[in-house]
Amino acid sequence: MRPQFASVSEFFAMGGYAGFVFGAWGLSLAVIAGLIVRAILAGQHQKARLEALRQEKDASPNL
Amino acid sequence: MISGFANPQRFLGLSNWLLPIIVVLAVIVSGIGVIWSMVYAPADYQQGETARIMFIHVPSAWIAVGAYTGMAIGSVSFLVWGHALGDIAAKVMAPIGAAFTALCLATGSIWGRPTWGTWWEWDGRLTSVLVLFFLYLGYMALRSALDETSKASKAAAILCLVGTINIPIIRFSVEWWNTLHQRASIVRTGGPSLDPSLLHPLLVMGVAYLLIFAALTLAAMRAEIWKRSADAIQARLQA
Repeated sequence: MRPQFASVSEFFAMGGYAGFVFGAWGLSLAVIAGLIVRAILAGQHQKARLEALRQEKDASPNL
Repeated sequence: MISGFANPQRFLGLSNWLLPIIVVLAVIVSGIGVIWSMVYAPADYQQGETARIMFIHVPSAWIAVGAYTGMAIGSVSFLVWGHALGDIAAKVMAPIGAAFTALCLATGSIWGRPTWGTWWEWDGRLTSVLVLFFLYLGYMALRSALDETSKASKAAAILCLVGTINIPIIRFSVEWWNTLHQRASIVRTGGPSLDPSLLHPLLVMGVAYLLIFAALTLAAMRAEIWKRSADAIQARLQA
């Protein structure tokens, strides 16, 4: 296997279709990155919330 | 190990070590897949460099359909055996599946413009995948409109199962209404018709997408289990 592009500028030109190829790849990268950030934030938020509520429950004598 | 996925607490323990392994694998396989498909895979002899869109378009389509199938399996396990994790899996897969379906539609549209000469056509495959996107949105809208109860989960599971009729329609749409989208070229009788120089990087990208989807789903399921535990404590504290 050899690289299909002779130079970096040829790679970024994508045979004249750079907007389409990098547009589609960039959009995919952005959406997947967004999903990853969302997953991390949701996990952190719910775990912290659960721990805070557990402490509150332990501190209340009625439960 | 499979039975561990039926109990939320055991699931938290299992996924605690499984998730990091999947994340590491996802990073490695994605790295190989991106470089292979963008730099080493040959340009298509007819489509030129635009064919590199295939390496993200096709895996996103696999996840779009696979996530819905996963939701259907989770919904069945919830309806039949009352597995809470089936309900949790179905719930968290919906927005992830919707995002990959949107990516499938968007990247297909971007690919269609230079190769078909149009961003969109009411072709059988395109239309049935758009219906899949709306099914995801409908499922999410139903879940967010109802309070978290087992009745709401049942209603969502039934809606999900009704929508599975669309999965074989997507699969066979290219044969029933052969207008613009190409026919199956990977999973077909007689083996893949795609050249190995393109098929192999595509399969690597498919595995990468599957690992990313698995990691996102496990992480979201963990968050949902914590959320439900927290909601239960909150309800008792407020009572």
